[in-house]
Amino acid sequence: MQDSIIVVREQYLQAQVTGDQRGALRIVREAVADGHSVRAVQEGVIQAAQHEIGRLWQENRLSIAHEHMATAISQMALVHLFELAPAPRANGRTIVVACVEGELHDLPARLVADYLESEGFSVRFLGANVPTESLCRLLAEDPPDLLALSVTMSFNVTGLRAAVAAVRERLPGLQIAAGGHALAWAPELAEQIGVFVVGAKPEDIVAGLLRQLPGGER
Amino acid sequence: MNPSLEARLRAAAAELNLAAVDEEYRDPFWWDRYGERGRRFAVADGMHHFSYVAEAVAAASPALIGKYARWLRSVLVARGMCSEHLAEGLRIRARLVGSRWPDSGPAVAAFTAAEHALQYTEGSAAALAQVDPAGAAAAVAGHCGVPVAEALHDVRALLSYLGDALAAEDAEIWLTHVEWRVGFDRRCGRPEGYTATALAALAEALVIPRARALVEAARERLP
Repeated sequence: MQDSIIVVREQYLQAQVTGDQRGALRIVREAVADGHSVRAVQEGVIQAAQHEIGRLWQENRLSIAHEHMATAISQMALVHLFELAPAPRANGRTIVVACVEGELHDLPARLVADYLESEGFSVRFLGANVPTESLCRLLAEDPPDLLALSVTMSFNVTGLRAAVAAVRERLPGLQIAAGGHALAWAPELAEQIGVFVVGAKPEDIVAGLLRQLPGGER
Repeated sequence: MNPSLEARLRAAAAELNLAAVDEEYRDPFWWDRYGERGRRFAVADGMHHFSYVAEAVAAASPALIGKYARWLRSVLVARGMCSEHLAEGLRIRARLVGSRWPDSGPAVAAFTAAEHALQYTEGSAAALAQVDPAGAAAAVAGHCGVPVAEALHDVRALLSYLGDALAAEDAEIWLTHVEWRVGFDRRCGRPEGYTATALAALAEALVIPRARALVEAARERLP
């Protein structure tokens, strides 16, 4: 019988905090084999467990080292899920997903990249702390349909401002989306900086990004 | 052209922050409770204060700084500090920034907004914030022969721990601190029975039932 996603999450969390990498991978593999969709495991297990890890750190029930260990396991689990996901039908859209300069928390951006890939986007994921100048060069070499920037810590909003200004100068027509905890804390920043923000749920992110593209949803 | 306030804040943050941490560490609480390792964290956290204030100035977003302050409080309280410790650090930095530049108003306002965001607005914790610590402090100073300012500082901190415990509905935040405090009193040469006297004065002054109950629970735990 299929365990509920909450039970799977609890098992996964337990594996994470004890550093049981193989156990964590087995749990996500079995969840998919039992009929949970890859998306459900990405969102209901990995993303939810990461929130819980953050809360446990905040409450001083996990050390920074434990938090890093748990996050490293989630990085691995996401790669594992990526391989388990059915190949999507390409939607012909290219998107670059990156964390702004200074931003070290790349797991949320990785999750968004994986959500988008599973919806048929061709995703170029650049990871954490992407230098603005380097980002601009990459975009100019092969412009995507859309750029999605992630910023978790509010003190990295400066990096977001710099990246948006630099990209606007080099590629004025490129649509820029932004997301992450920093913008959830201060949503008014999006308009000020000139980016659009999509929701936190995977389906909202995908639909929101598609709406911004010329021709809308395909 | 004069650089923007945001740019000046960022450029001077390291220097101003170190001055602030030095001032904070005049309180023996910090060395005793957290030592050199804690000082490193204090420097790092203080730099974050400046980053958030600079961002709040740039974005003209007081909401951002308030959310940051409340979030940071939850992190610090879980590690043995109280709201008043954070508030004091913000006040020190606001003063240092305010005396640095004549046009520092928006930055001072952001520090002040952060401090104000720490005020509890509901329940027993909010009621506790209305308690004037002066009476209890005078009683402690008179009974223990310590300067009133010192007693006031300590009573204020005790009330802050009490407020944090009430807001979080976690008595251990308060009880653990009081337990630690008794040893601290000895180590820093406070008169015998100092914390017991402070708790007795608080029990006398407080009319909020949940707060009184916590004070009585702490008194029962005293050696």
